[in-house]
Amino acid sequence: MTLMAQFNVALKNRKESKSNFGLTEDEFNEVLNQLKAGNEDLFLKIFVTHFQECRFYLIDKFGVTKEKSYDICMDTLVEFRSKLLSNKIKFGNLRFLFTRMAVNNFLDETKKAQKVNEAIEVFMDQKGADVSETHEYFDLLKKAINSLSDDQKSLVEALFYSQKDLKEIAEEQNVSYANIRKMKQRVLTKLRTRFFDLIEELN
Amino acid sequence: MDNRSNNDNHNNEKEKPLEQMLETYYSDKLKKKLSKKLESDYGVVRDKLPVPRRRVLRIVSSIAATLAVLVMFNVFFNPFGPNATELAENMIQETPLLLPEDFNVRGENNIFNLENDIQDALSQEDYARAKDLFIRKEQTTPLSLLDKFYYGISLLKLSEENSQYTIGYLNEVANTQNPFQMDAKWYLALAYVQNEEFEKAKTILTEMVENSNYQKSNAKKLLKKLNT
Repeated sequence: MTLMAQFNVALKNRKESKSNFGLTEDEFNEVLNQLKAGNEDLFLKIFVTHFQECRFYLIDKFGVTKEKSYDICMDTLVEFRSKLLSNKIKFGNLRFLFTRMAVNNFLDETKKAQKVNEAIEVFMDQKGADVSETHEYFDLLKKAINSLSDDQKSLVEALFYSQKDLKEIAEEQNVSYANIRKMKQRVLTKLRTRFFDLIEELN
Repeated sequence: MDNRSNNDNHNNEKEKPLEQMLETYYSDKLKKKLSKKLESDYGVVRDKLPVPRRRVLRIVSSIAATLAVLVMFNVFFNPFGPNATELAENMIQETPLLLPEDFNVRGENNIFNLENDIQDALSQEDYARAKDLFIRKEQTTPLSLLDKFYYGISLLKLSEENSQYTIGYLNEVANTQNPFQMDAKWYLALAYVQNEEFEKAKTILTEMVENSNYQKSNAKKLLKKLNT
């Protein structure tokens, strides 16, 4: 390889590394593995610098407050983690992707809040119940989740916290996909029933 | 089979809002966890944001660039011009030295040779050598008024730290009736400015401006600078 070619390769690697938070592809895979194992430490260590940089960017570009920039970047961090876990993000220009997601989160912020509120309304309409404050729904949901058995709770957490799909869970627990799907259905039914019971108790 | 599939779809649709709520619930839970970690491990908090190093660098480099531009502007276009001391310094170096014919004496003895050497040194503008020769001459014979005049100028051109000698010699010549009295006054005024004795310089320059002499316009310029 000529000197010029070597130089170009080094330059390309440096550019690639910079746009990927200094990560090589192997290191990126290591972050992914740790994240899938439920350990967020390495993920945070790598993203913390850009988290702050992105806050500055939002403040400069859109004139948002410090608090708002934090909330948007936190949403983005969670979304980024979720996309990593569901293999929707591949190695390559992670920095740009993170920033773009943060900007989209800022622009779609109202839409997202609206979506959550709509989901709550639709859910509540199933029972015709009414709770005035959003956080109260989540307090009740927490109570409903705590009423589940350990296995059921693990399944809910694997699905909605660790963002695993049914196929992955089935493989991990060495059970059939159909069984896991049924189990999920039962858990959700139980959760809904328990949730509405709690609302009735509240009223 | 179709019924089962329809049931599944119905159930999925029915559970969607609940699933969305669960996603939001766990997402909030995760945010709280990450926030805690960001604060404890990295000091990242919601209501505080340190000035980024990049921004500090940007500010520092902007200031440095502005200063550099100002310095360059001052060097090339100095809008205020030189101050009085700088102007006097320029004038000291730029005032041409006029040599009298009296110096041009050639003879057999040492004194004539010394005089000849002094003239050589002065004509070559080698004021350091001229100074040494005047010192040598002073050791053997008293300096004439003309010697003191050129000795004073040599010291002035050399910007000697001990300017009292310069002022002393030039003062003596400037206060004695002689053909180069007015020149001595001009050099004396410059020596006073160099020594930051501005009031004394102004007195001489005012006198020069009021009388006719070939340094009148320079005296006027320097006086104006001293008065601003």
